[in-house]
Order: sequence, then C-alpha cells, then structure tokens
Amino acid sequence: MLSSTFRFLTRTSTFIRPMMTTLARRSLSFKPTLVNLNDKHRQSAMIINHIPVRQSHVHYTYPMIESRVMLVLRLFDKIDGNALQLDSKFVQDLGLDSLDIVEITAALEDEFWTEIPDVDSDHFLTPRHIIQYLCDKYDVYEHVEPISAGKEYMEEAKAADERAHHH
Amino acid sequence: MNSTRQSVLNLYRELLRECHKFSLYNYREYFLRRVREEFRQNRQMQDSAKISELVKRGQANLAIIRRQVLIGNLYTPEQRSIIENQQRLSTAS
Repeated sequence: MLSSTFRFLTRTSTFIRPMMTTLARRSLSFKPTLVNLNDKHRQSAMIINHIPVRQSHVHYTYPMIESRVMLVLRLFDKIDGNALQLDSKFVQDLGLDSLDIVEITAALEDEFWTEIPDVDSDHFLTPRHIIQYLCDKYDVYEHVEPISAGKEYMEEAKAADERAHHH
Repeated sequence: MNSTRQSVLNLYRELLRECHKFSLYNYREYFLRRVREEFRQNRQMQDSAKISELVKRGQANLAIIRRQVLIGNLYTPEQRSIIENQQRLSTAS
C-alpha cells in the first residue's frame, strides 16, 4: 500500500543511507541543496512549483498545436495510434474513461506549460475540441474562415452590377 | 452522486500533479504507477461509505506525497540514476 511505503521511506535510516556514501567520499560538510527558483544554472534539475512561463519568441501556429496534441495522444498507451483521428471520440470510439481523460489533460498541461481547469476538460470529447481550446487560449485563428461584412457586401454589389449590365 | 464523481476526479488530478513533481525517477514512476493502479482497481465501487473512506485515504496520501516531494527536493542526492543523467545532459548542452 502507498502509506506503508511512505512509512518505510521516512524511516530516517533509509534516507540517510544514500547520503552516507557521498559523505564518505568528501568532507563531512553536508549542505542540503535547496532549490532556488531564480537560479539559472538549476534549470536542468526538476524544479518544484515551477512557474510556467510562456516563451514570447515561440510562435504558436495551428499545425504546431495540432501536431503536438496528436503526439501527446499517440504517446498515451491506451490509445491505438492507427485509430486516432481528429474527430474520433475518446469515450465512444477509443474506449477511454474519465480517469484516462484526466491523465490526458495532465499530460497536455505538461506539454503546453499551462493550466487546464476541470470545467474545460469536461468538454474534451474529441481531439478537435482540445485543439480548438488551445487555439482559443493562444489566440491562433489562421485556420478559421474570417467573417467579414465586407465580403458579402462586395458579392452583393457584384451581383447587382451583373444584373444592371444584363438589362 | 455527480459531486462525488467530480471530487474523485479532482483528487486523481491533484495526485497526478503532485507525483510529477518528484525529482527522482524511481519515486516518480513508482507513485504514478501506484496512484493509477489504485484508482483503476476501485473504479467499479458503488458503496458510498467505502467510496468516502477511499477518498479520505487518497487525501491523506496526497498530503504525504506533498511533504515527500518537498523533502526529496531539499535533499537531492549526488548520484542520480542513469536515465536522469541522460536527460540532464541533453538539457544542459
């Protein structure tokens, strides 16, 4: 069980044992390595409570978001890579359940360095929904057909022009 | 009934998030695997008394994991496993 393992871990002898081997090699000044959030040299180590920073030089585009989302989904072992399409539903087609969707959401949060609240992940039914959500979050709209009043006006004006010339 | 389902999913998400914060590969993989297995085994539970007891146990374990993440990150060992060494080399270069 989980708790018994923790009790095993917290017994001081097991924690200190790996420390003792390193102490034997060096002098006996053991400094606990407190993780400094602002220290640039520690960036390769795993930082707890890392404040997610969106890099401003990364340009988010629709193909990039789509390929990253599909990659994360393919890496999930419960999803069959061949059966995965943009519109395949998670619950009905791919046979996942709500626990799997929570796991997928956690993996997407790690990939895109952002938080996805529960109210939003409830609406993730297909990969397309995820991609649309992330596009909305990052203001990517190059794949959306623009709605402009000018276009319809021009078409109407052209049609009226045609009618006038025919008569 | 729906609220307990939501609270169970929230607990699962919180546990997964905290387990990812372990800096040591072994601990991280072990706790992720255990959390997933526990939740999957008890998926079909219908008895609400047992559900609340399991949720309480899960929350106690969540507190334990949080403390252990902090302690583990305070006292990172010099020797890391070979998998982590490769990761650090690739990010440092």
